[in-house]
Amino acid sequence: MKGKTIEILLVDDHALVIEGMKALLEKMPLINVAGTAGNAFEAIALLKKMKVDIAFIDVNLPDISGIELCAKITKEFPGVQVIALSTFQQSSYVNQMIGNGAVGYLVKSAGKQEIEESIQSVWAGKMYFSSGINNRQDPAKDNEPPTLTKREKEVMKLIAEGKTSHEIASKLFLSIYTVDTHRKNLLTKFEVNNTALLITIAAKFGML
Amino acid sequence: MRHVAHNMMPEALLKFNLGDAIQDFCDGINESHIIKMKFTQIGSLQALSQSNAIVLYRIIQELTNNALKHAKAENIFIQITKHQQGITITVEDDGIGFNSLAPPNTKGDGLKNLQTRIDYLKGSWDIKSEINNGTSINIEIPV
Repeated sequence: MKGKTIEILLVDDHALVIEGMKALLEKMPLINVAGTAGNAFEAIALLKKMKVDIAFIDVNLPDISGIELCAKITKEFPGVQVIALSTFQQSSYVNQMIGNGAVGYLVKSAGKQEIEESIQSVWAGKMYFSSGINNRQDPAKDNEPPTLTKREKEVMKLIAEGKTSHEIASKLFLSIYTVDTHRKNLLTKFEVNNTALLITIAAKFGML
Repeated sequence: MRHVAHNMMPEALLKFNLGDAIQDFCDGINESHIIKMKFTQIGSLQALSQSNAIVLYRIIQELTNNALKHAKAENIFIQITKHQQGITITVEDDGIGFNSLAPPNTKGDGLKNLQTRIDYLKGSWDIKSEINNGTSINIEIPV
């Protein structure tokens, strides 16, 4: 596949963005802007007609958002790789786009070099994120304990002392239901399915 | 500092859900490096109506604002838990705290607004704080 021209589709409701991107992309070797669209409907119509390798999609499109369009493209045109184009770098937008199948996220403050990098990485099968986007990983890291509230810490210590839910409830003036919820949440946070394991891991982190 | 905690209606809340909006809120404050925000969500908040989500967002914003203004804290931890009987929200800081048995000036609008919002959701809340040992606020909202 290498050495072949990469066909690009640009989708943004701002003409200036489209024209600017197009001007930059056309100067790059082996890249061809196959089409441009101002909304989701035009984009879908173009995708049905022409061969596209990478689609740059604005997150904030009128009527049908880029987030929905992204889901539609990944489903109906699996050969097309989507790079999100956005002024926002909040993780909610990034997560929604990635969750809907985008493989890249480019902020509109990006320069020529970043745009080129995004195309090259995605073309090479890698994901691409503009610098400045904290590509958040799942919070559950092996070497870092979960954050607990004071109440959860109290409940965990009492569990470690071998107290039953009833005893914990009366000691902390909580309902038994609340104690059980804390217990469940602790198991979720430590990603374990029983209390013995919970206590072992908590002890390893020095949390007891 | 006030600006960070006081931003207008977050777009994420209109488009996505409360958890995403709170994560953005925390990310925004973390960028200022004034304080370290951490957020954990347990359970799905899909069933929450948008209007209630906005009320909860405002409550969390108000509590964070209080911690930023008064607590001299280094860390603020926000947790939202969805369980069978409702939603529990915890906002904790590791700041200077106060004697929660004799709360300081409650004449401000902040706590009054908070009470009104929690009443609106038929919820209950409690504050636990000790001098030099941070403040922990728990809110229970039934569903």
